[in-house]
Order: sequence, then structure tokens, then C-alpha cells
Amino acid sequence: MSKSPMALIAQTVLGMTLALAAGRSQPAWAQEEGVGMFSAGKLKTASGPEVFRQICQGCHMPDGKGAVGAGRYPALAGDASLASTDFMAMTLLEGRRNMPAFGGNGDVGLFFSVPTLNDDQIAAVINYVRSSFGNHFKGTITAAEVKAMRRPNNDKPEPAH
Amino acid sequence: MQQSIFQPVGGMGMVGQAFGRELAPLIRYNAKVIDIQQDERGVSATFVDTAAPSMSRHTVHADWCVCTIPLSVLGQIPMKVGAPMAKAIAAVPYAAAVKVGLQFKRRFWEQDEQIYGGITYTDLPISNIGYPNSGFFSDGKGVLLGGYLWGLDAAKFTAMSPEERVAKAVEYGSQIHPQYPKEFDTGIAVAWHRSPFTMGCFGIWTEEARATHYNALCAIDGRIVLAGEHASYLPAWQEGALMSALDAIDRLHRRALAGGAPA
Repeated sequence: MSKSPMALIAQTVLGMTLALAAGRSQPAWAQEEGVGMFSAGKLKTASGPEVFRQICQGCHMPDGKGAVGAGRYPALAGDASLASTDFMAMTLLEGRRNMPAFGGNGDVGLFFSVPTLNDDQIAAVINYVRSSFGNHFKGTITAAEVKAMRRPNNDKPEPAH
Repeated sequence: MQQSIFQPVGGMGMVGQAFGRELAPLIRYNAKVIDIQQDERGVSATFVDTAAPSMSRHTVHADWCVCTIPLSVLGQIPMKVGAPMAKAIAAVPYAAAVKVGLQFKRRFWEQDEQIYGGITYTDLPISNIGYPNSGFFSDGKGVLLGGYLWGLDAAKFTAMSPEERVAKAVEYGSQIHPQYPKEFDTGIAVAWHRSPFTMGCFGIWTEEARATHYNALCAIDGRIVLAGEHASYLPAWQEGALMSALDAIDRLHRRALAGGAPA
């Protein structure tokens, strides 16, 4: 390498400037919508299956059977805990151990927002999971029932234990 | 003005690899810890040898234990500690993050755009593109960090198949570098929630959780002390993990010199 470190740093800064200029020439948001992705902290769909496919299956897996490594992600298929819609709503609203809460406002004091779900989405995904993957749990939960379970300070939920 | 930033030759992963090399005789690989117990005399950790066909169980004993298992995993392991530490372990959810490595047939960013290292930041879900800070002007294939995703975008990419993640990163990156589709060779994507050893990228500490649980998480419980990025004020970063380790062993050393009594 014949170039001095300072020359390389200068080129790096120049390279970043050029790349950013190139990026600005594209209507990024408009194109982004076209492929179904959203940068905001909230999902724009209330569909239960969509919420599951875009978030939940990342850990619980597309077939709802969970996974095992050094620890495990619990299966949603055939999990008796899912008999309780309240258990599921509390888990989604406030999180459970390593699973993040989805009921806050997305602000956890970091440089990015964590995903949040509204009452409709939480009810929809609960009802979807309880009737999918071979599950046939009785009853459903409504958005109003989810809303009633939110704590007054639900912007900053205490983690469930 | 930002100070110059340096990285190890070969990238930050070389730090961990160097530890692995220097400590090789002390490390036992493929050991899945399933139980941690302690009494006044010492600590016992039971693990499964996942490389052995029999998946045999072994128990090791020591006077003290520095435990660096991520809380996402540790929270599922039976462990004899007091309620404050147990509650702290259970109080930290894990954040999603995804990185995508894209290999191209040539280093077009250097040859066409005069980009030598550095980062392009974007509001696309890929968040940024990182250019290699070494091997400038070389012929042949080159690898970019094609995306480093956080938050909802990371959750969505985690939920995709690895092939989908790479395809999406190429699709988004094409909006910045039109050369992408023609020059793309192959790619790889890592979603930290799918890493069997961490089940997430790092522990999320809100101010409220820190006020309630952080001291209990870091305190020496009997003969056990925790260390890692999760036991630091620099979550997610190697620096946080190293500072936590130095702090933990310093406190443990003083405790041991004091014969086990609080120093």
C-alpha cells in the first residue's frame, strides 16, 4: 500500500459524500413502499397472519414450532399456555424474559425504535396463533379487551417475570 | 470533527478469534450449560457435550464462577442465585439486529465511484452500506456489508429466510448503487435472534429497568458474578463486554482475597 493513511481517510470521506449524493437521487420511500417494507417503528397492517409472518416467526419459526439452541424459543403449536388469551396479551404487551414488549411506544432510549403493535394487531395475532399451527383454542380476544389490559403507564412497561 | 477510527486487520471479529487462539487450552467447546449450582465452598456447572454422539453430561467445579452466558439464554438455565439477580436476569429483553454480507464480481464502488472504505447511511431498511477498509485497488471479487438493520426492519428481516434477506438487501442497495444487480455474486445474512448462542443481538436496558435491576445483575451473588455487554453501560458493543469483564474479575479478585467476605 503506497498511499499514506491521511490520503486514505480523505478518500473515504469523499467516497461517503458521493455515495450519499447518489442515494438522494432516488425517491427511497416511494420505492420502499413497493416492496412491502416500512422503516417506521410501527407495522401498517392489522392482519394477524401478516404480523406473525413479519415479526413472530423470526423466533417462533414459520411453522410455529419454536427452536432449540443454547436456549429455546417456545413452540406456539400445541402450547397449553395459549388457552389463556390474557396470558398472550400480557406477553405481547409487556414482554416476557428475553422476548421484547410490543405494547410500548417503541422508545427504549436507543438510536432506533423497537417494534410496536396496536390493540387491533395484538388481538388479531393472538386470535390467529390460537387457531393456526394445529391449534383450536376456544374463544377470541377483542382489541378493546387488549386495551383494557394496558397499564396506565404502558409507555414504559415493567418487564413481566 | 470525528477522530480517526481504526479496526483490527480482518475486522472486529479478529478480537474474539484472538481470545480463542490465546486461551485455546482453557476453552471447552460444544458445552451447553444446563444447570449452575453453588454453596459456601464453590460453584458447579453441569453441561451437555453436544459434540458427543451420546450427548453425555458432565459437571465441573470451581471456587468461583464468572458467567458470560447472554441473559436470553441464562434466563432458561436453572441457577442457584438470589431473587434480586434472578429477577434482573429475567428483566432484560433482547434486541434484533441483522447484518448482510454481499459479494460482488468486482470492487465497483472503488473502480466506478472512488469509494475507499467508509459507510453510506440511508433511510432504507438496510440502514447502511459498509465498504471494506482494506484490500484497496485489488482485482477480482469484493464483499460489502450490504445492510446493518435494527428495530422493526431487523425483526422483519429476521422473519425472512436467509435467501430472502440477501435478495432484499440487493434490491434496496440497487437504489444507491445501480451496479448491484449486474455485479452481484453471492451473499450471506445473519439475524442475531437466529444465533443459537445468543438468541438476540444484545440486552435492551431501559432507564427504568436499569434503576430497578442493574445493580442486582452486576452484584456478586455468593460465588457467581455475571459479565458481558449485558452487564455494562455500553450494551451491544465488544467494548462494553470487555469493560464488564475487567470490572467483574477485579471485584471477584478482591472478594476472593477477603476470603469470600464482601470487600
